[in-house]
Amino acid sequence: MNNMPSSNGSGSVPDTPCASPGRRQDAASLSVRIADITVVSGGECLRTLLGSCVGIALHDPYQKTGGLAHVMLPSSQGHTGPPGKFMDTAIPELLNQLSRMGSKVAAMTARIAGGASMLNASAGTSIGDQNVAAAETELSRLRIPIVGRHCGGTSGRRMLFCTQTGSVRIEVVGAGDAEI
Amino acid sequence: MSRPTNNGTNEPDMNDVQLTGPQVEQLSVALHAGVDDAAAAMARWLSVPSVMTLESLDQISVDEAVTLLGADLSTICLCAMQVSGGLNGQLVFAFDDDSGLALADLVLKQPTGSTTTWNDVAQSAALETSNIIGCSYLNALSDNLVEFDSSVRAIIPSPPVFRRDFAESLLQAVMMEQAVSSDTVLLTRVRFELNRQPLNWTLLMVPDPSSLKRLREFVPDE
Repeated sequence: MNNMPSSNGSGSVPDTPCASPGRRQDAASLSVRIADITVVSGGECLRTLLGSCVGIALHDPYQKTGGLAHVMLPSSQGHTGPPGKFMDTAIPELLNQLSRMGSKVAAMTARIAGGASMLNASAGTSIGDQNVAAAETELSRLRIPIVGRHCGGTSGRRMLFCTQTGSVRIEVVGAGDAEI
Repeated sequence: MSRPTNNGTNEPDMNDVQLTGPQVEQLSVALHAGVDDAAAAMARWLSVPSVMTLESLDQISVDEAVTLLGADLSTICLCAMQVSGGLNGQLVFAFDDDSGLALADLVLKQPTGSTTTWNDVAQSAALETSNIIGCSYLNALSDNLVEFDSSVRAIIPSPPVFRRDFAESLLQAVMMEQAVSSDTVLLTRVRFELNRQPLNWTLLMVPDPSSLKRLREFVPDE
């Protein structure tokens, strides 16, 4: 069962070849949809599209497990919804799912991306900024180090997480790819 | 009217505001009027026969809504207007590159294919068209909503902003306000025809949660 992806919501859709940085793999990448959480243990790649949402990629390099949450909002504040929707519920749920696969919190590292201000560059803190700040707070509380980040700005991002290596590739329309 | 939410259950979010079937029908009448006025304005602006059709008025899951105009690596252009007054939310005029650049040629009275990049002039043509369509649409919509509630004020759009990006990333931002308190979004979708040719342009209107609540209160439920 450990090789099966696990998702809490609408499911993951494998259809794009996983192109990890520097080489192309045969394995398909799994799409993680908005407010969804997916964990894998077979070295698969996970991908998601981000605007003001933030992608949280947790990786255990020893177990070669990893999980990706596509989080929409910083705090649940009494609202109900799937755990992947809010930062304060998504990260603990992602951690729980990885723990059930044998991953140890102490071994985990995090990479985060997204949090753009897509439509309004007005004064005040945008939802994107709030999402990034909430991710940092929650990961700090859980003592999970953030080893890579690609956040803010006004552009969307495609985030491709290779759980074999832990690397995350970021694609931005009209700009070169980046690896974090 | 409870629909499955994207937590995989049939339990409605307690914060969800859902319009009833009769309310959706009543609202459709008001939206049709907005669409007709906007089509007339577009025909005057572009000097060609124009048709706009209210394709749908739905409450759908956020998950479904963000992929409405394309998923994964699909890119789109959109002109987004924040609306305020009688209703608050987002009004978005979206199109792919080819359709948008063709629109720029039409506005600039150039042969199709003359505009090949999103330079300042092309963006300006798209923004001006959005402004004209958006204002006409919202004026007619507020005139019709007054029939439901005399206190409804004019609906005013902000100056539009142009963005070109991943479709899903942009729609996340458009839906975000509603998604704060709901797992579903109320979405109106309008399609376009120019010179009897269907176009890959889409007009989306997404009211914010407070406006959705007001619509739930004042649109007749019969």
